[in-house]
Order: sequence, then C-alpha cells, then structure tokens
Amino acid sequence: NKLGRGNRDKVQQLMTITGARPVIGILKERLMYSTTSPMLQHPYADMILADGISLLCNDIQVDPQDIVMLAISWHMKAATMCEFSKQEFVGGLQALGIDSLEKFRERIPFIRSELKDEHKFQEIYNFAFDWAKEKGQKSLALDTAIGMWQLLFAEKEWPLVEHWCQFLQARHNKAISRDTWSQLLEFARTVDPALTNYDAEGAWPYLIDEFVEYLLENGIQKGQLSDWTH
Amino acid sequence: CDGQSYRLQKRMGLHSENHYKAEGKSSRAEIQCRGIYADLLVMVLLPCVLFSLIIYRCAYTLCTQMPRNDHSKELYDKYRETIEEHVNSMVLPSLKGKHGELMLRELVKGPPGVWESKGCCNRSGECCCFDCMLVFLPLYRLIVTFFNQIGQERNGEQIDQALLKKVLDIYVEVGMGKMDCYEKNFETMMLQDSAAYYSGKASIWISEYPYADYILKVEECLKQEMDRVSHYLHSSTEPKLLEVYRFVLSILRFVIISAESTIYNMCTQKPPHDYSQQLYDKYRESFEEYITSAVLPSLREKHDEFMLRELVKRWSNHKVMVRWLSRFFHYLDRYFIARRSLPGLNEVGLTCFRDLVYHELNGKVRDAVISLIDQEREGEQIDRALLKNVLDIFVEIGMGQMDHYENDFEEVMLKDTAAYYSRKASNWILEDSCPDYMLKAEECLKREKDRVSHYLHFSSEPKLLEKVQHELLSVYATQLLEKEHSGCHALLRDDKVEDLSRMYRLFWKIPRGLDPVSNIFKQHVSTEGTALVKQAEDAASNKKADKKDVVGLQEQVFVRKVIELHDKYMAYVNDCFTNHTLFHKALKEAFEIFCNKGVSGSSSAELLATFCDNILKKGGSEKLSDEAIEETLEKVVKLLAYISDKDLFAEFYRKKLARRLLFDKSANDEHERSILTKLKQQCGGQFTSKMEGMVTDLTLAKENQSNFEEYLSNNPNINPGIDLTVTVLTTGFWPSYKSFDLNLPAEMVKCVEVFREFYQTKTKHRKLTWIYSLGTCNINGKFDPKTMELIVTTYQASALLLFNTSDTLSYQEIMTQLNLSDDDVVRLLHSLSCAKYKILTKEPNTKTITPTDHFEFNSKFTDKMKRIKIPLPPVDEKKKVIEDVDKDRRYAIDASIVRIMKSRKVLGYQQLVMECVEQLGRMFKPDVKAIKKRIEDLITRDYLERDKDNPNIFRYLA
Repeated sequence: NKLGRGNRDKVQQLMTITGARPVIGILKERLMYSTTSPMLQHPYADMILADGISLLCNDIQVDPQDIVMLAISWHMKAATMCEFSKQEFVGGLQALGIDSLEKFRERIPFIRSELKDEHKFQEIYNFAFDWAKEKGQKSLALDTAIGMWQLLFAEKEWPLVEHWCQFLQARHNKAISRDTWSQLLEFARTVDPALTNYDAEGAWPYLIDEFVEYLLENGIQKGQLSDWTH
Repeated sequence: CDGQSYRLQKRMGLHSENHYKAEGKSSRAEIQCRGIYADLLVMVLLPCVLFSLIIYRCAYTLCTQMPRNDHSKELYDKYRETIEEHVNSMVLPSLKGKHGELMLRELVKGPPGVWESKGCCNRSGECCCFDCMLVFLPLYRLIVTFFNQIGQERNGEQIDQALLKKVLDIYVEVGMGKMDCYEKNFETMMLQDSAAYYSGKASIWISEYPYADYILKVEECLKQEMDRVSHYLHSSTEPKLLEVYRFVLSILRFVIISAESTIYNMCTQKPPHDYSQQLYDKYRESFEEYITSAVLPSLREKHDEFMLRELVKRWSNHKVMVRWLSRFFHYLDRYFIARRSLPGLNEVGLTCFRDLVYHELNGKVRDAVISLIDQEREGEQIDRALLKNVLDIFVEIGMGQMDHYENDFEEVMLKDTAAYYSRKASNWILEDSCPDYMLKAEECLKREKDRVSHYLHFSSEPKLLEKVQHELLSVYATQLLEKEHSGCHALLRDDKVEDLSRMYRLFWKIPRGLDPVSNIFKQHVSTEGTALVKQAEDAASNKKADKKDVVGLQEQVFVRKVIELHDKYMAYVNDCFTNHTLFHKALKEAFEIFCNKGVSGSSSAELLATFCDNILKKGGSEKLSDEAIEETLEKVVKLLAYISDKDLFAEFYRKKLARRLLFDKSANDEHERSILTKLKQQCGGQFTSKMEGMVTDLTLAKENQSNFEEYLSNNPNINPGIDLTVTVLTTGFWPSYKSFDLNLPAEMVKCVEVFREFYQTKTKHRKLTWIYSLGTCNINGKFDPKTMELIVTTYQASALLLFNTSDTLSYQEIMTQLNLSDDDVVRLLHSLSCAKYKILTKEPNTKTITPTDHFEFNSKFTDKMKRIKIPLPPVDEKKKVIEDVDKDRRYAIDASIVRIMKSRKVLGYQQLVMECVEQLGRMFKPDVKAIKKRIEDLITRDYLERDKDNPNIFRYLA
C-alpha cells in the first residue's frame, strides 16, 4: 500500500480527532433506524468521524487506507475525507441496497470492481478532489494531492505517477488547482507514457507542460519507463 | 531676242542672286520685284542692259499717255511676239534636234527663261509660250516616246520614273488649272495604248499559260498599273486606267462569264444532269493536280531558307488562285454547298494546300524556321520578313484556329528554346558571375520579346518568355542567388544597387521567384543587425571596467547604427524592390529578429527609451539641430514598430520622461510634444495618454504654484519662511514611486502643512500623497571657511538637518530619526560622506557604509564653487520597471481573455491564444505559457470552465 507520507499523517491526524462519538454502533444491531444521539448538542453529532470509521472498517473488514474506502465515500457522496454525516451514510447505504453488515461485506468486492470501470473511476477521481481538499479552499494542498494520486494511480497503474510527484515537489511546491487535478487523469489516460502523442500546442495545464519538459530534460522516457514497476 | 538674251539673263540671274545674298535683309517681296524686273528687261527688251532703265521708263511713258498716244496695246502685242520668237528660235530647234528620252529630258530641263520663270512672266506670256510650244512641238513624237517608256516599263525594264513624272507635270501645268490639255493630248492616247497593249498581251497569255498562271499574271499587271498611277500618272487617271484594264481583260471576263454560265447551267439541271457534285470535286481536283504537279516538286527540290522563300511565294499564289477560282464556282458556293453544308470553296482551296503541302512540309519548314531563329539568337542577321510570312502561313492555314501554329510550330519552337537556353544557362552559370548572368538573362528576355514582336504570333509571347525565364532563372535560381562571390548576398554586401534592381526585375516575373530573394535579403539584414548587436555587446563588455556612462554611450551608438541600417535597407526596399510588400515584410521580420535581442542585459525597448531621453534632455550626449532631432525621433518611433515589448518601452519612457519633467531637464517642450504625437500616430492614443497627462500635469502644476505663491502673499501670517515649490501630479499618469513616511525636519513639516491647507481651499476630495524621494532642497551650509549653498535631495537635506541639533550621530540614530529603510540610508549617507563632497566625516573612514558607522558634520569642508550640487545616485529602477510591466501584462492578458470569451462564449484553446496574441500584439508579444497560466487562473476564479467532453475547449461562465 503506497499511501504517501503526507496523506498518512493527515489520516492519522483525523483519526485522532476526539470528541466524536461513534455512531457506527447502530450497524451492529439493525440498520435504518438510527439512534437519537445523546450528544445532539455536540457539533459532531450525527457524524461518523475518524474513530467511527476505524470501527466501521473493522466491521466490514477493510483497511481504512484501502482505496475502496474512497469508493464507498463516493457512494455516500461524502463531503469530507474521513467523515460521514448521518444523512450521507444512510443515503449511501440505501443507494447501495445495504441493510446489514453481511450485505455490506458482500458488497465490497462489487464496489472494488467499480474502480475498474473507466467512467466510474473518473467520477471517483474527480470526487476525490473535493473530498480531500480543505473546506473553504479552492485548491488541494500539495501533500494531500500527492497522497491521493499515489492511492488513485496505484489503482489506475499510471507509470509516471512517481515522476509526477517528484516533479511537483521539486519544481512546484504549491497547491493543486481543480483544473490541473482533473486534467492529469485526462493526461494519464490519453497520453502514452513515452509521450509520443503529447501535443505541446494542446491546452494542457501549464503544470503538465512543465512536467513533460521536466521529463524530457531528465531523459526520463521510454527505456526507464518500461522498467518502472510499482 | 537673240542668243545673247539668254546669256545675259543668266548673268542677271546670277547677279540678282548675289544681290539677294548680300542684302539678306531685303524682304521677299523686294526680291521678287527685282526678279521680275530683270527678267522683263532680258526677255522683252534688248540685250543691252545698260539701257534697261531708260527702256523701262520709255515703256512706262508709252503706257501712261493720253489714249491717243497710249501704246499699251502695241506693247502687249510686242511682248507676245517676243516670247513666240524666243520659243521658235531657241526652244523648238533644241527640241527638234533630239529624240526619245533625250528629247524628254531637254523638254523637262527647258530653257529656264521659259519654264522655271513661271510666276515671273505674266499669265498671257506663259500661256502664249505654251501655245507656241504645243503648236510647234512634234506632239506625236512626244507621245510615242512616252509610250515607249511606259511600254518599256511594262516589259519589265527600269525607266526614269521621275522624268516621266516631270513631263506629265508639264501637261498638267500647261492646262493652267484645267485638265483639258492633260486629258486630250495625253491621257486619251495613253489609255488607248494601254488597251492595245493589254489586249495584245492577254490574247497571247490566254493561249500560252495555264489558267492559274494567267490569273497570277493578271493580278500582277493590275498591281503594276496601280503602282504606275501612284508613281507618275496623275491621280485622276486611276479609275480610267482601271476601266480600260477591265475592258481589256474582258477577254478573261468573257471566259469567266462563259465558265460561270456553263457552271450555272451544269448546276441547275434536274437531278440526273446536275453536275454540282462533280464540279465541286473537279474544283478540288484541279487544286490537287496543280499542287502535286507544280508546287510540291518545286518545294521539294529546295531547302532551308530557299525552300521557305519558295513556300511563301507559292502560298501567296495559291491564295490568289483560290480567290479567282472560287469566283468561277461561285454558284456552287451559294447553293450546292450551302444546301449540303459542305466546306466552302475557299476552305476547300486552303484545305488542299494544307493537306498536300503543309502536311508534307510543315516539319521541314518548322525545322528551317527554328534553325533560322537559332541563327539569329547566335547573332546572325536573318530575313525576319521571310519568317514573318512563313509563320503567317501557320496561322492562316488554321483558318481562324491556332491549332496548327500551336501544335506544329510553337510547341517544338518552345521546346527548342528551352533546350537552347538550358544549354546556354548551364554554361553561363558556371562561367559568369551573378551580375553578368543577370545581364545576359535580361538581354535574352528582351531579344525574345523583340522576336515575338517581329515575326512570331503575339500569343506566343507569354509562353516563350515563360520558357526562357524558367530555363534561365527558375532552374538556376538557387545556384544564381547563392553564388559565393557574386550572389545575392555579395550584391547586398557590396551595395550593388543596380544589380539588385535587375535581380528584382528578373525574379519578379517568375512565380514565387522573389521568395528566395526576399529570404536572402531578410537573412542579410538580420545578420548585419546581429553583427551590430554583437559589436555593441563586445564594446559594452570591454568598457565594463570603465565608467558607466561610457557604456551608455556605446548603446547610443548602437541605436544610431540601427537607425542607419534601417534607413539604408528601407531605401533598398523602396528603390531596388519597388516597394514590394514581400520585401517590406522581410525587412520587418529581420529587424524584429535582432531588435528584440537586447544588448548586454538591456532590452532594446530600454535602449530606445534611453536614446530618446538622451536626445530630449538638456545636455544630452548628442548636439543636434532642431530638424535633426525631429528626424531622429521620427526614426526611433519607426524602429519601435519592430519591438514587441512596446509596453516595456512605454514604461521606461515614462520613467525617463518623469525625470526630465520633474527635474526640469527637458530641453525643448515642443520636441516632447512632437514625439508624443508621433508615438500616438503609431501606437494609438492609449499608448500615449499617460505621457500626455504627465506633460499636461506639469503645465497645471506651474499654474498651481503661482496660485500658491499668491495665496502665501495674501496670508503673510502663515508663510513658513521657506520657499516651497510643489508639483501636484495625477497619480495614474506617473510611474509609481515609493512613498515612505520620511520623518521630515520640523521646518519642512510646516511647509507641507501650509500647502496642504492651501490645496484644501481649492479641492475638497483630493488626497495628497507626498513623494519626498523626488524632492530637492537648497540649503545653506555654514562651513568654517565659508558658507555654501548645497543643492541636495529632500532625503539628504533631512539627514543633514539632523546635524543642526547634534554633532555626531550613529548610523542607527540617523535611520530611526529619519524613518528610512537601510537601503536608502546607506545610499544617502554614502553620497554625503564617501563621494566627491564630504559634508559628513565618517568614523571609521572607509569607502563603504556599515550599520556601525558614526557620522560628524565636516565643518572644514570647502570647495572653490559657492554653490554645489550633491548628487544622490538613483536607484536602479530597471528591475522594478520590468516587474511593473510584468504585472500589467497579467492584467492585460486577463482582460483580453475575458473580452474574447465574453463575445465568443465557447472557444477552442488554440484560437483563444491566437486571438489573445493578436489583440495584445500591438503592445507586446505575450508568451503562450503566460496566457495558459492566465487561462488556468481564470478557471480557478470561475470565469471560464473547460468543456466536459473536450478539454481543448473553454466556456465562458457569465
């Protein structure tokens, strides 16, 4: 599992957020009737937070850092990483047709298979930007972005992802705009790793143009790439 | 009248001639009178000239008496008698003695007294003279002689046509205005004679010659008779002669008529007896027979030029025959042929010639013609008229179509031409230099053009010239233009203006021929320009060690040289290349290449701005007359067109302009305004609006200042006691300046307050921001040796005034008291303690300022001047200017993208970039990457979005 350091930290950090009561306990009994939380006044009432999520992960036997959690979040239409509101959670489970832990567990392989679907992957990819970014910000912090890319492109198998991350850290070191985020998937999908069909005159975000220049400058092409494994 | 009279008259004539010459002034009329007088004396009276006057007087007296004694009548008779006697005794005998042509000559020559004195004798005298002559002249002999002459000519002999003409003139003149004499005595008989002559001839010919030849003979005679009329017969004779001629030829006419009527009869029978078809065939056969039996053999045995001559003759004969024969068979033409829509008689005749002669011989003829053309190309004289006639055959044989000329002759001729010139060119290109080659090529083209006008069909001109141009120019264009020591490069290098013009003329004609020339031109200019850049770079790096302003001078020289270069090549474009757009473009591109390079770290925009500054400021490095300044400014503005970073120029220019205006360094207000006008014309009003605002601001500031002074004198109580001049500027027009909160000395603070109050009275809603960094102060320094006036900046003054209260101050103290940044403090302290004038002494006494230094007022300071200016080196503003421009550019690109997208709503990336570059190109050349960044920025700011399906398309989000 290749979770980036930065991302791991963030996940770690989120997981240690305290003051949230796991609402996840409901799953163990019967779904579809959530309890009225005794801590309604609490701002995180009706929320599954870091602790809750690790409980949930235990229950459904999934690693919290597994990409499938992103897919589940996507189904839940979760607004923020490592958080589900009650509404999101219930709505998502309904949409997935899950009403028990068994069903949830059974559903995991299906959800995982959805990642292989090109179209759905794109939706999940674009969903990930909003999901991962700090609320109120327009762009995604570089560390988070790199962590997410490593997670996502491990699934997608884009051989240039390591170079991309190296490049960003070396040359850019700034937040990533939504445009660059979404265009990178396009780039990974359409441009072959040897860059033979890359069009310098195209409308690629300048960061991608510079990345290509970086690759050419450092002679990172063909030969090295074919050896590249992840 | 005896023999002597003639001699005497001659002498008199001589005399009067001399007299005339001697008295050149005497009028024409006078001379006429003298002539008449002399002639009368000689002719009418005695040979004794001595008595002439008396005799004249006598005659006069005789004629002016009263009727009874008036002897006029007798005198008149006597006059006539005298002439008659002269003719009888002198003229006639001389004529009688001669015969034939000699007699005619004698007659024409005549005694001058008789003949050539017409207008001298009176009318009756002349008349009687001729009468006598005609009466006594052996008329029949004259006529016979005459006819013999004509007869001789008709038989093909050479006769003296001029003589005959003169004789006939006598006939006409003797008529004195009437043609009787000519008609009665000569013409009638001549016509009879002609008739007799031709009837004789005709009867012989008709029996001796074949029909066709007879026709040719007749044509020939007709032509000769026409000639005769035009040469010596009177023009009124022509129709009559033709009449006779027709009459005589009526023998032929008779034949024709009988033939025609026969033909008519043969054609108008009922079907079984209708011979139209046979006649039609026969008509054709007769041509065919004639051609095979007579024409072809005669052509076959001749070769080359002789064959061509024969062909031309045969062709013209053939045309005559066709004309006549088709007249015989006219009826066929009108009915039979029209009905069956067969080819007309004329056409059949020509077709026969074409099928039999032309088809057999055209190859041979063509080769002969081409070999003649080639001979001419090699400089030999050829019979151009012959070629013209031969080539006319090619045209005529086509009967309105150019097929034969084009296919049978022109095509091969063009091929031959191509081969000929390709051969020539391959030699020339090796042997000759480029200018020589071009001379030859031009000459060849001229000669070929000549050739067309002389004997080729005009339609051949473009094709022929195209071939020659192709072989001479297109094929060897590259080789020619790139000849090492004489090619286009060398011509440009050596300023061979004429050869370049020739090159232009030649290559202008061939398609895309100018492209390589303009490319070389562009290359050359940009190489020259780059060399200038290099030269300036070298000079700059050599002088680096020396003073800075020397480097500045080098750059001035560079701009001058660029201007000169531009003048030179602009003249080339105008003169050699006749203002062709291609060359304007090449020049522009070449200049754009090296004008945007920049010299030793300065962009050319900056160099140009500095150059302008140098010209416009007081005491600039160049001393020029007003006109020269105007002219130079004009040229600088022209150069600006080649510079892509116009905004950078504007910014630098504004900076320099601000210095000139604020520090009163501008040499001439008019020049300032004039260059702004020029810039406005070239770059638009937006470009200069700020600069114009600056100039206006300064005028307003002067007004404001006088108001302020008036205000102070009206309110003496608030007068701060220091003279204060404030220049109020409009923020937007001027370059941005740092405005630090300098802690002003108390004296100055008061000034500022007073002015602020004054300004409040004028305007309520304006905020004054004080820019002390631009201020100057005149302060008095009370040094021990003497008191001196120091001209310093406000910063310097503030620093110095601190020493009014304390003797020694540390760096830190100064900095805190002034509230300035380290940079500024270092700069101003350096100017006061380490530079030329050491107003302050520094502890330790080193050349640089460090934060631990201490300063003391140098009371011993002195200088031989009473007033000194202590300069504060300006901050290097270059970096800031460039940053400012960069920032402005970002806004400009944003604005441009939004403008474009607002109107287009949806647009492809490429097009957006293109339009953006186009929109901004007038000011600067935006980097595509920069545009891309701005687009992305606008996406983040939700002005644009990418199309969901096509990432290369952007949408405008309203």
